[in-house]
Amino acid sequence: MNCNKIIGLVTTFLVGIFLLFPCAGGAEDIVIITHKSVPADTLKEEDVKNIFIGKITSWSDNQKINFATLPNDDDIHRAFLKKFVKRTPAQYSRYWKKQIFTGKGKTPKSFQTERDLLEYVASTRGAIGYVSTGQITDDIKVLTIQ
Amino acid sequence: MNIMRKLFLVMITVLFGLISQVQAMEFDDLGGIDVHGFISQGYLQSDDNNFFADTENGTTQFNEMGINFSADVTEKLRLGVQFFARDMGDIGNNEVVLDWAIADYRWRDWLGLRAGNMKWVNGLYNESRDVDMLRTPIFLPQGVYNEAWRETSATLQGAGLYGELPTNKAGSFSYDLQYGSMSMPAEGGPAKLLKDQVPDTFKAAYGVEDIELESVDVDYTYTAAMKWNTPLEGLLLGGNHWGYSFQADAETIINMNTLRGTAAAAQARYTPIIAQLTAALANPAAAGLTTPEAILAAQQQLGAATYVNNYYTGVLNNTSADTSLGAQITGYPTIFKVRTKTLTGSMEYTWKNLVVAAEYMQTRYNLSMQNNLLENLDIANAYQGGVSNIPEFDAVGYYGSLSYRFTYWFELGLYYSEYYRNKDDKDGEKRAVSFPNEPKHRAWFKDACLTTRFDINENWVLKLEGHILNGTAVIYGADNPVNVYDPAEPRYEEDWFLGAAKITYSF
Repeated sequence: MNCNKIIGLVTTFLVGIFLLFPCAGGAEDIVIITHKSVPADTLKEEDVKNIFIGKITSWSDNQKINFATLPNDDDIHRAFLKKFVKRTPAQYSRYWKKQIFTGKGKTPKSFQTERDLLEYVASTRGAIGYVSTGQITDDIKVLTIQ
Repeated sequence: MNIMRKLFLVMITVLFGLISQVQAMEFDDLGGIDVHGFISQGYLQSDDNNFFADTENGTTQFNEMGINFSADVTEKLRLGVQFFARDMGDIGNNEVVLDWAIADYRWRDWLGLRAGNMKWVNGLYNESRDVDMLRTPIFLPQGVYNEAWRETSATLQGAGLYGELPTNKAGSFSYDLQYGSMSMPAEGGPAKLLKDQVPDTFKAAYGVEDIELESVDVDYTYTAAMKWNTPLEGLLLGGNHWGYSFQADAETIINMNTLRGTAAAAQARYTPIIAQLTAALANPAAAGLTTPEAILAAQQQLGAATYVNNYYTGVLNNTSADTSLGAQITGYPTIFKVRTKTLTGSMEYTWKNLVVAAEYMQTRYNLSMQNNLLENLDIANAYQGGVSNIPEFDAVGYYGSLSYRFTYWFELGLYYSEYYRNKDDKDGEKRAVSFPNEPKHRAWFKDACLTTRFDINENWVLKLEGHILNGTAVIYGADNPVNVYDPAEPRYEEDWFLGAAKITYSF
């Protein structure tokens, strides 16, 4: 194997990383909301992550968890993923495509606007989602995150 | 083109036409059935050697397509099916196959049951290797994800248990246990791969001119996998053990001219054997043949001895029409028995837009070849008795990879991978004894890859990548035949380059 060629490849890659900027993520005040039937009042950050990657699928009363998301290009969605799921929108999207195309999961429910997402959570038993603080209404429950 | 293939292509065309502007579909009016699909088309070009297709001349025979349907039947039960077709040189030829079809009952998060035709869990990426847009490179590192075995290691028919096991402070564990059988076609990749396992010396000893796989009988396949999401955010460690066993029968074309010098001795040997076996089978109990298996074995021995004896009688009496050219007899297949056990260790670390991964895989092969006709030939050589019990050996492969997403639409990745057919013979010196007609670099495969991925939008992905390669262990001999116009030309080149481009649409 020509070592110079390999070194060239690695150098190209590393120079590229340092010259270009990564995607910037917005910092927003986000709250986790649920349907009022959900038995939980508090969740750990790790639980939020596991819910949104499909590893926790039911509440403590065995009620099915229905989680809802916003589109990839939404700032709230990007900030939520960064803070709770520890993934970029591209990584999150690829994660779910992997579940879908290997027979391990269904597409997460996605809404174009926070208002639509909030209405879904308010009207669907076991639902959980996220919105910016300005969107909170009396129709949903706001969880405390530990 | 068969009806199934036509139907599939029509279905794909219609669906893609209908939803070209839609990211994904959920047919609520069909009871909440999720429908997703993808179609990929690629181009491959190498400067030397053919990488599973006619890549030396450039080829577009490199595509995949699939469509799946899934629905939640109850809160805990989900059903799904995916149809899949692909083409890569002689492999696949766009024949539609049932990729996966599963019933998934998730009783609790820590215990679920899947049954049916399911993706085979192995390492970080085996389950998703058929779907191009799920990864950064076009080709996964061959050290662990060998294209030669892709047809057989993609899915498993059987049942499996899975679940998530959270802990308070040690992160969480996920596990998969799968047992069943696997689909192994008697044509395509496995056939070419098994051909490459027959030593040159075995062929020369018996005048074996060619071997064509006829049928494959898979005994079992299994996997046990564990992944640990460590407390260090983004660090995933995994390990799994998997294995399978199968028997394959291959039509064996033997040029008896190679063996003619032994004709008189062979006839002298077989005449009394035939008489003895005939007498024994006339009165099995008296001859000690007390079980059906023993009687069957004696019948097979008699058949083989008679077959050979008749042939040599023809040779000696010069009554056989084709003795001047050498008869090609095909009556007795070579039986391959293969058992493997594999250990895979995996690491993936994700930090913001950077993903670092490394995996190591070691496979122990137990491989034997047996030919009942050759078993009865009286020839002194290394394969006395027509049996080649190749000593157990371990193939090893590993890689390290980096990928970084600079923007939402651009990702750059690289990896370096090595694969060795036998970890105790990395330089091919030992292999050269059995395969004197092949270069030593058939023992290894080293690959340095630089790859780019462009996410044009949610649905379209374009990739371009280059591979600087050294060694030829992974590629098929059948794809790299002797140049009939220039037999002196080397079949394989040690240092070579492979370029790949691929575009994928998914919804």
